[in-house]
Amino acid sequence: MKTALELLKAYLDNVQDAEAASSLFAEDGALELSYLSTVGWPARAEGPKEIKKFLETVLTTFSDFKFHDLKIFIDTNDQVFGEYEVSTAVTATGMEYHQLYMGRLVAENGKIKQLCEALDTASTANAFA
Amino acid sequence: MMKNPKELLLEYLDVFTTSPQQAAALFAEDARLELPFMESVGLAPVYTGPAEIQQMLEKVLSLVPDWQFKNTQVFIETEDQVAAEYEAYGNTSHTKRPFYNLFFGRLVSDNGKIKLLREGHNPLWTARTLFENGLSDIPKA
Repeated sequence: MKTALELLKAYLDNVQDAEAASSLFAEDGALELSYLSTVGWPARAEGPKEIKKFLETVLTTFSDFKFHDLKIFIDTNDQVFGEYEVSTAVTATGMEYHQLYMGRLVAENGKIKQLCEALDTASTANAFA
Repeated sequence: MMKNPKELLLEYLDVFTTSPQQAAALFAEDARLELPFMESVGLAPVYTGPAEIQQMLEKVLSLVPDWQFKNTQVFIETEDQVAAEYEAYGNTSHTKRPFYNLFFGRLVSDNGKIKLLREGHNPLWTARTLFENGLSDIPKA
């Protein structure tokens, strides 16, 4: 059974494969980006199917979207807290996009129960300005 | 008795509005208050030491005098760290707008003091409320 840390690493490593990344989530697992509604994106996706769709949108919106510079700050039995970054470009315009994520993942029975991420919405808005 | 990270965070959120001096005194001499997303809206992202942190808190309270933290949820607690979410409500003194933000805070403690408080917040909510012309006042990247 994967730990919270293993799940976070697997999610970040596999984000370019929406099917693989979303299958790490439990049936009622949720990906929550509370600030995203500010820039017109859904703030929450629940279940592997919805999460896969969300990731597919991300992957078409940004070119070569992948995470780097993962830093783990807290690692417990069922939760992990880390920061990680993305340096990419908006596919339609070529505009550079850099983002810092703060992520807290909750694991349950070897699956992701919840992944809550904070991100810089001003940076996102700038990329589409 | 030495305060643990959760006690430090809760006390910080509690005294933030009533006494910036007391809130800043919870930080160690070399402590940092970091809000990395502030940089995108042209505001300083790092404050070091109690004096600088107190100044920052006083500035915040001059802009949002009735600032209140609510709905604190502590999600992870270890010997020296805590991760939590909390919301801020208030009204701005200069733009007369309601202020809201959701903070993702990670606090690191050392010897009963705050060593680091690093917070994620939504900078667009901040800009909309605090800047005279809202999002138009965000400096271009």
